[in-house]
Amino acid sequence: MSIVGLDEDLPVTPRHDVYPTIDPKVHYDGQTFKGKVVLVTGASRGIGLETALSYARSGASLVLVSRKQATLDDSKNAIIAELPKAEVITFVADVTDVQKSEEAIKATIKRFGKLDILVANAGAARPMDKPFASKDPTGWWNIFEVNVRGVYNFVHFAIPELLKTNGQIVIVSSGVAQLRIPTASEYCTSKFALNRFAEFIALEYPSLRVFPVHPGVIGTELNLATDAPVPAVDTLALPAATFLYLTSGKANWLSGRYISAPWDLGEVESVWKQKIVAQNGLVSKLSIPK
Amino acid sequence: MSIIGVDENLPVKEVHAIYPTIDPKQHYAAQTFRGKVVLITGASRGIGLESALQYARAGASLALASRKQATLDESKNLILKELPNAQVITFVADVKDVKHAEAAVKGTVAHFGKLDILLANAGKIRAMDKPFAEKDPVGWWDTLEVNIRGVYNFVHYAIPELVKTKGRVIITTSIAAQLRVPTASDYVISKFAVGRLAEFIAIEYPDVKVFTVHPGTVDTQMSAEAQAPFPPVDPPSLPAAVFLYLSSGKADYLNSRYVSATWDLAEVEKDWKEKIVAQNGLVSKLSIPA
Repeated sequence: MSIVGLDEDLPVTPRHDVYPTIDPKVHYDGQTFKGKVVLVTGASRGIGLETALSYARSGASLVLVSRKQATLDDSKNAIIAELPKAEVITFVADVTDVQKSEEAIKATIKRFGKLDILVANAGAARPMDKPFASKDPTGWWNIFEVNVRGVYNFVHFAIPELLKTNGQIVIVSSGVAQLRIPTASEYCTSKFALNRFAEFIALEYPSLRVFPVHPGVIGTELNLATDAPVPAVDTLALPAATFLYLTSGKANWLSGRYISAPWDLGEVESVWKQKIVAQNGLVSKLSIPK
Repeated sequence: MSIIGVDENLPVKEVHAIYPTIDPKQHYAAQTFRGKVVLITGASRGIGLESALQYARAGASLALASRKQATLDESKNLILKELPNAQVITFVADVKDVKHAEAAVKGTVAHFGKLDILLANAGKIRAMDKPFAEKDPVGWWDTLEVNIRGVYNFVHYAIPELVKTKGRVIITTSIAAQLRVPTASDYVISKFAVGRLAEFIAIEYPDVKVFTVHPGTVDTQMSAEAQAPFPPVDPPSLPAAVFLYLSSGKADYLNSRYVSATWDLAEVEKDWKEKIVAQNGLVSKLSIPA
């Protein structure tokens, strides 16, 4: 079955694991993010945890946000076990909770005095098994609550702090933003909406950089629960290293645009940058026929 | 100031009044919608009320849904005053409420025996005055709840009925879906997202036709509250007539697509139909540079 939207992709070399352009070793050795404060939502497992580890290895101070203290403690311990000197705090919050989101940012400022990078990574998906009207309508909207509102809440309260530090936002989006996968309407549409939100962050707050990123297809708990018919071929290290690359200042021209971690970003820059900038590419547009 | 996205539009003649192709008089004379059951949300005023009047004049039975019984009663009385034999029922419903949506759809079918057309028209906009992080985060999300969830809830319960009647869904969207208007992120994102939802409705329920329609810039209570810097130049009769036109089956090539009531739809069919279908136009796509 051919899924509508598969062609909405850059024809570049696909990457499934770390490659030279984004090798995080340069950040580990150079402590690129020393003195930077990074808040990660959905930090207790999967992409969020790997991302937190990568920033910590690069010198950053970390704020881990997730729904359960126990799993947050496990994550913090995993970081400290590897990096005994890392500065890590945890905060229990459901990203859909406006008040808790505000408190998480306040706790970050209270402990570290500032915020440099927000990685809005927490997400949710339902099994991709039935057409939408056959399933629970509240469950459909809940995916929007987590994937869109959950990102919005943290961005909303982070922005005043990020403005002070010329900070950055990474939004974990998905390639499904372009795909009309039957039985996945809520997941696809929520990620579709996020890419437009990223454009607005860049537009209304031009001193910040914002990167909506498809992390690849990775065998995380979230992915496995969807039973998606797409093989998980990418490693956790791929998106984590991509986030470091993007927030290290090497690709500010991509701010506000959709980025896919499985793209060879060196090739994107050398072959596509000029055209992307000139034609305002990698954002969604109403398709007007030629 | 040049707004990003204004070019995402069909270069056809702009209309701001009824023209022959969409003139509802043909439907009034032929009673095109006799025996058809139409459920309209946001039916108590503005575009919703005008649409109810036009469908009723064309013979349809009406179910009006809105938040207040008093205004619903006024609307119903207005219709009956002009058309004493019209069949009109009302439902108090907040579109965000799953239970209200279920009751309205099931109540419509209980009374009339079926449902042919859902006009998901209820919408919300906030004043376009400040960048989003300076406004109320709850209000931001409320716009998405009304404009996305409110559409979804009614679609969810309507679909099983519309499958039986090979019926139609018409969603009131906005040209704002394409426009990156600073200070309007919630409204833009909500309308952007329903465009993708429409594609999913068409894919998962191919027996049901769906159209998202920009109504033009109409002088309604909602648009007055928005204080939008766009002067209202279109009468509510224009989008209402386009809803009837699309409901009549005369433009099913536009199924799942964005349509503007301000396009000369005769010109669209004559000069653009073939290309729209061949290239899957008038849906949003990730822009890949040429």
